[in-house]
Order: sequence, then structure tokens, then C-alpha cells
Amino acid sequence: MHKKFKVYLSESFDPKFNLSIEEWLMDCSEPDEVILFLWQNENTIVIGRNQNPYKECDVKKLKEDDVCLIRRLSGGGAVYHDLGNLNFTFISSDNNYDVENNLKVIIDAIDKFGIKSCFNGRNDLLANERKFSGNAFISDKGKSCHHGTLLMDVDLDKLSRYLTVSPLKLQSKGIESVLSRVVNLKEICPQMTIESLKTALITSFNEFYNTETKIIILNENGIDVAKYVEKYNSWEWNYSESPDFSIVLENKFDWGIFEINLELSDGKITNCKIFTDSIELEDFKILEKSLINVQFKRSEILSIIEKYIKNGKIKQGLSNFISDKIHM
Amino acid sequence: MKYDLIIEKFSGHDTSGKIGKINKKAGDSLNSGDTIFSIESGKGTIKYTSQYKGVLEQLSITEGDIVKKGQVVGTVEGELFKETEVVKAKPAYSFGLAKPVQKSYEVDVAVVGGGPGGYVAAIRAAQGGKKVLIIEENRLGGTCLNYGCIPTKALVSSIDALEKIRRSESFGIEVGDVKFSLEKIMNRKNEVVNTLVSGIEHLMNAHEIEYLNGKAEVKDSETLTVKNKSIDATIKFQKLIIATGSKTAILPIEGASSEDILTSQDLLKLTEVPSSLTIIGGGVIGMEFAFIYNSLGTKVNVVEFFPQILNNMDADVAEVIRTSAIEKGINIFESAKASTIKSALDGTKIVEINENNESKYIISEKVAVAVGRKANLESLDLTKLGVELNERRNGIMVNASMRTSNPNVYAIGDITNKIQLAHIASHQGIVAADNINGIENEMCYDLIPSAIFTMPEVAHVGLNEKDAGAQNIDYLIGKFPLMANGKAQAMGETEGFVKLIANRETRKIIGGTIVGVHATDMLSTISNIIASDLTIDKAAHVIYAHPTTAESIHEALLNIDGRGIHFA
Repeated sequence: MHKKFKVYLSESFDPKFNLSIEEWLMDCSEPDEVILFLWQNENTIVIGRNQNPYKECDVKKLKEDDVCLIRRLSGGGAVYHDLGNLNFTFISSDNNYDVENNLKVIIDAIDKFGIKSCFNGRNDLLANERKFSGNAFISDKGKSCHHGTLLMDVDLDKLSRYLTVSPLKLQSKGIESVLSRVVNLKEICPQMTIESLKTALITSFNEFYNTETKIIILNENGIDVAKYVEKYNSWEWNYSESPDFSIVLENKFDWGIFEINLELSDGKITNCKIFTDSIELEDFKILEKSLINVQFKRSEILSIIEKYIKNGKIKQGLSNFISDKIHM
Repeated sequence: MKYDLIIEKFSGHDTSGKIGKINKKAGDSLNSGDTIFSIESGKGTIKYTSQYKGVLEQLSITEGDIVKKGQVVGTVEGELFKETEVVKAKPAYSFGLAKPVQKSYEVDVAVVGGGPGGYVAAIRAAQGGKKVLIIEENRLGGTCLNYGCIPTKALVSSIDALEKIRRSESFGIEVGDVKFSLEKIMNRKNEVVNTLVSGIEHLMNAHEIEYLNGKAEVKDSETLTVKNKSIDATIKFQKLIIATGSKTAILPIEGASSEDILTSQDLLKLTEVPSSLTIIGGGVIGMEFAFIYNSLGTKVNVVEFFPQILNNMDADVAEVIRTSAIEKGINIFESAKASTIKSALDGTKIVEINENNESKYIISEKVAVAVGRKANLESLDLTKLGVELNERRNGIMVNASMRTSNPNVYAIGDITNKIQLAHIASHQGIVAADNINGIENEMCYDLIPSAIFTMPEVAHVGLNEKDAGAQNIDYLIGKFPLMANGKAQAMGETEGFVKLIANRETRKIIGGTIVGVHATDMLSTISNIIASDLTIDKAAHVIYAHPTTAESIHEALLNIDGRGIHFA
């Protein structure tokens, strides 16, 4: 089949926009197109399709530092993006899809900086035996997508700070992230920049396919992907699309010990058990019942507490406690 | 209509995956194209979408479950709603371009070859606390599991089912036309093999045995290298176990090395049933395939050089198999030497055979050669390892501890060319690993069982009449025909017999052969009698459950002294 090659560059650093573009390309590209899409996100944690944000990262810290959290289409583990990171995406129809070709494009591009790299056979690209690129794959409706990160000059302190396992007592059925020893490419080749890396990738893509592709620049003004952005902006997609999980929140108040066990499915509380040595048992019985079917969102839970807990001191204590633990 | 939801594919070549988000639950209505759940595997994520319009009746998985290809995960009540778009198979991708990662290992024990010798030795060595690494060029499980014992038995099971249905009328059951699909029979066989291979992979993991897929090369007497697409490994070992097996021997006659001559491995992957097939070699492998293809409708000829098929067996044993084969329409040529294989213009094969100094021609669509197996002596540089060959130069020389001429190197299995059987290899593997673990153990070949899956089956252990005669042992025999066994009659499988051999002087049981239904499963009773050194009288003083085919062993024991109850 004749192939059409396209290179897209995003000018936006907004993860919602960029992931929207990616999904739009999967949905709307032509069957004969072979696409390379390069993009960057500012200060973002991207979790795998089947992960739980509460488990993979410290949501409280993300909120405090204004880090965006977003769920992607492909599986695998959580990653941190900032402007020292460049993302690549290859999209084509299944019969034009060859991970090996894609990797060759990347490895050759990196080679232009004198860096020898290799694929470890699973999901990572390594240089000097350390990971500089995590890859993930998804296929849907006859199209396949292979995307990955390229750590050029990422703030590794932040990376490890945000990707620390949740301080919450939580059990999730989804996919767990795997810690890796990582390296920034700039550390190996100090003169590398994001721009030169982009250029090298595009050159490598053109060389591999023996083509001279025109580059298409994308930004929020030029294209309408609002339908997709809405999804990537939603609490439902980012938080409630997690596999089922359970969580235990506990605290010692001056009115007694309080422990609440929640089971969650599709972002809603499906089961709730409260243990307490407080004498105000009546309130807690009602709270247990009233929380069923409520969304696991701070505002929703607070309004239930407000409505059903009569004792002012307990109400105040619980409200502060929930606000401290649940951040969405 | 009710449909099963089956896991049909994963990303890439993965064979298992983890259930991610489940989007539908039992009772939900479904449309064709709806995502029911997503599956993550090593090579990526896919959505499991509905091909049905209806109601999801039941879903037996939960998020986080590991699922395998072919697994049924739920049921739908509704109708099939095939999308018109044909989903094309994705091209296989490998990682050939990625530069191999350099790795170096230092291990206590390196095992080269992952067949029934190698993997068993690896496990036993690991059980002794050794750090073990195993290298396999092809697939774990070796010839036995991938191209020998197991796949042929999977085929035999399909054939058994087919044969049972064909004679269903004799059981009072009427069925319509019986049809089979070779493709489905082969697929089932492949599934059986894949399940067992992944079982061995699991065992390697469970014992923390490092597994490298690739060809081992000898660097020096204590170092191996393995290079494949993803790694370039150097392995320093304290002890080495060579278990590189054997391959099909080629018959040294004109036309036998031609590409269209089939080996047993080829016979396991034919996509069409040949109209006719000539098998050169009427040993175990040749006869098993003769019965398999005969059942599938092929006109089969067997050419055996020795005076009888299954030449190691006693004449009365071969007689049962010969009669059964001829009744089924298999042509048997014994004492017949194949001298040339030629191709006619239309590709038909002509085998010239020499029977009683007379040339004859057999014409068939395909020709297969099953004349034994040759040790893979060229698989490793034995000179560099300081490992010597045996006197006949057809195998690696080993002592009873399986040690070679290099005290740090052991060899086990077909490469030693002692007796080429999977269970010998496994036992040799245990002996070698025990010695490495500091436990003295020696291999003894006195009591080797063998199992042949012809129709009917044959099983043998210890000495047969030929052996006893050759060793000038004064022996007694006791024989009991399955015809006189109640269970065999009830099953309608009355061919064959149980034959036991005892030493007249010591009255101990020294050998036994069973031909007939359940023969291979009954054999270990005889092995145990011999291994326990039992006399005829002691062995007969055991109660056998009724009604079982194993009662025939009891009767054969009694018949040694002419005291059998059910046969006169």
C-alpha cells in the first residue's frame, strides 16, 4: 500500500490538548497515513489507562504544586512530564504498524548526538543502561499507537517527588508502576536541546522512510478538539475510570478514634464501613448508609457530612479531615 | 442465542494479560463495538469490544485478573453482529534493530538445552541452592514437548476420539457423518504444547532460574556466550550441564535428503491430509504416525529394515500391532530395505525397496523418514570444553554420575546417546544435578520403561523374552489376554495381552510387556514389582481392584505357574 507520511508538532504545553490531539489522530487519520507527532506537557503526571491516581502519586502534593494529573489511553505506569521532556507518538493503521521501525527512528535520532541506545525488549529505551524513554502501545479500531517519553532535561527531583506511592492506605486492582533508574539525555550529551532533539527525530523519520514530510504545526487556535478536551478535563475520566479500589482513612480526634473503609467502583462509593469508639454512634450509622453511591469527590462527601452529622464538633473534625485527605 | 466471551488476542504476541478497567457489568445491555473491558499485556493495551448486541449475562473476571488466550470470561445473550470491516492480522514485530544489551552472568550451574533433561536438571540444581542459568535456542521443553512425545499424544487423543465415534454404533449410539478438521486438530495440539511450555517457563521463574533464549557458544572452558536480538550475554559458570539433545537422522540413500522428504517434525504440522504416505522406519515414531495418518484417511505404507516392526519388542507383541495395522489398511513391509527415493514428474514419490532380494516400488504422495535420531554433537565446541566423545563417537562420553571427561562438565539426555528417551534424560538430569549439589547419585539403566502409542498401545519394562534368551536366563512366562478381562470387554477393547517374565531360579519378576488398552498407564505397576524385587508369589498376593484392566497383571502373575483364574 502507498503510505502517506505526516509529522505533527504541537505548540501547546497543555496535556489535555495534546492527549486530545493524539486520540483525534487515532480516530481520524487515514488508513494509509504513517504519523509522527511530537509534543510536550508542562508539569504533568500522566497515569496509565488502568491505574489509580490516588495510588500512583501523592495527589495532595500535586494539588499544592499545581501539577496536572491526566489519564492516557495506553496502559502501563505513571510518568512525569515537564518541559525537559519530549513526547513522541507514532500512529498508523495496524497493517502499517511496526514497532521496530518506530524504534529505529528514535534510536537513529539519538545516535545523531553520539548516544548509543537500545530497546530493552519490553517498554524502555536505555542509554548507558539507564532508561531515558518509557514506551506504551495501544491498538483500537484498526489503528495502532506507539508513544513514549524522551527524558532530555527533566527535573528528576520533581519526578521522584510526585511519583511517590500514595501515603493513603489503599488497595487497587489496576496496574502498578515500576520504578526505573533514569537518565536525562542532556547528561550524556550536554549540547542537546529540545529543539535539536525534535529536528533529529524529524530528520531520522524522513531518512527512514526516504521522504520529505511537511511539518504540520498544531495549537488550540488552529484545530477544534473540544469534544476530546472535555473528556481529558473531566473528573470522570481522570479519576473515576480507575479499576475498583478500596481505601481506609483513619484519624484520632479528641472525640474518639475514627476509621472509615470505602470500596469504590467507577468513582462511586459502593461500600462503606465506619469504626469508631465515639459514643455518638447514631450519626455514624446514618453516615455509613448515606455515603453509598456518592461520588468519591471532596465536595460530595463534605455535603453528606454537613447534612447528616448533627454533633458540631464531630462535623467540624470530619470535614477538616476529609478536606486534608481527598483533593478532588 | 447464547455466546461465550472468549479472550482471542492480546497486543503483539503476548499470551496472557491483566484485566484493566471493566466498563460493563452483568445485566448491562451491549451493542456491537461497545468496550467491555481493557486488557494490558507487555506489548500494550487493547480494548475488548463486543461483537454482540444483547445483554451481558455474566462476567467471570474482576479487575486485575490475569487472563490467558482462549479463556472464557463471560456469556452474552443476544445476536452476533459482525462488523463488515475485516480486522487484518498485525505483522509480527521483533526488535531486531535494537542493539543487544551487554550482560554478564556468574552462575554456579549453566545448563545448555531446555528439554526434559535440561530443565529438570536446572530445577534440581536450583533446589540444591545453586544459582542456575538455562539456555535454550528454540523453545523450553525441547523435542519431547514441542516436536515429540507431547504433540504426538495430543494428535493420538484426537484420533482416539475420532475412532471411538466411528465405532459408536457398536456401543449402541448412532451419529451422523463424522467430520474432522486437520487445522483444528493441529490447533488443539499446539495449545496443549503451549500450555506445557508456559508451565515450564513458570517453573523456571518459581525456582529463580535465569532463562536465556538463544544459541550458546563456548568461549573457553568456563565461559559461554549467548547472543540474541535483545541481549549479548557472557556467562561464567562453575559447572556446566550439556543437554543439547538430538535431531532426526537422515537415511543415507539417494533422494532421502531432498527437501520434500518429511521428518517427524514435519508430520506434526501438515496442513492437509496426504492421500498416501510412505514411512521409512517402522520403529516407535514411524508406527505412531502410521496409525495417526491412517485414521485421518491417508493410505499408509511402512518400510522396516529389520525383520519386524518395533524390532526391540518380542515377536508376539509386534504381531498384535502388525495385525491391527493391516486390519486398518496400513501396508507393512518388513525385512525391506529402502534403496532410493525418486520423484515422478507430478511430484509423486517413488520409493524403491528391496525385499527378499527383489526390487519393488511404492508410490505415494509423501515420504517420511523415521529411522532414529542423531546426537547434536556439533551444537557446542566440545574440544574447547575438553569434553570427549564415546567410543562409537556418536555421543558424549559420560560416567555413571553423568560427568564427562572434563570434571566440571556434565552431559545428559540424547546427546549422550545412551537411550534416547525423555524420561531417561530427566533422570540423568537429576543424577547430574545431585552430584553437582554434593549428593552422590549414579545412573542405572536396568529398569527402563517405554511407552508406544500405537493402536493398541504398547508398554514395556525390564527384560523381554529376546533379552532373557540373549542373557541365557532360564525364564518363565505368564501371559493373559485382555480378551478375558471384564473391563476390556466392557470397553470393547480386547486386543492384546499382559506378559510377565520371571527368573525360574529366583522366581523374581524381571520384565513385563503390555499390549492393549491402558497399557502405558498400567506399566508402572510392573515397574514397581520389579524394583521391589518381588517374587511371583509375593507379587500375586496383592488384591487388584475389580473391574479394572490392571487385573490382567494379576492374572498374568498367576499364569506364570499356570494358576490363572479367568483363562484356561
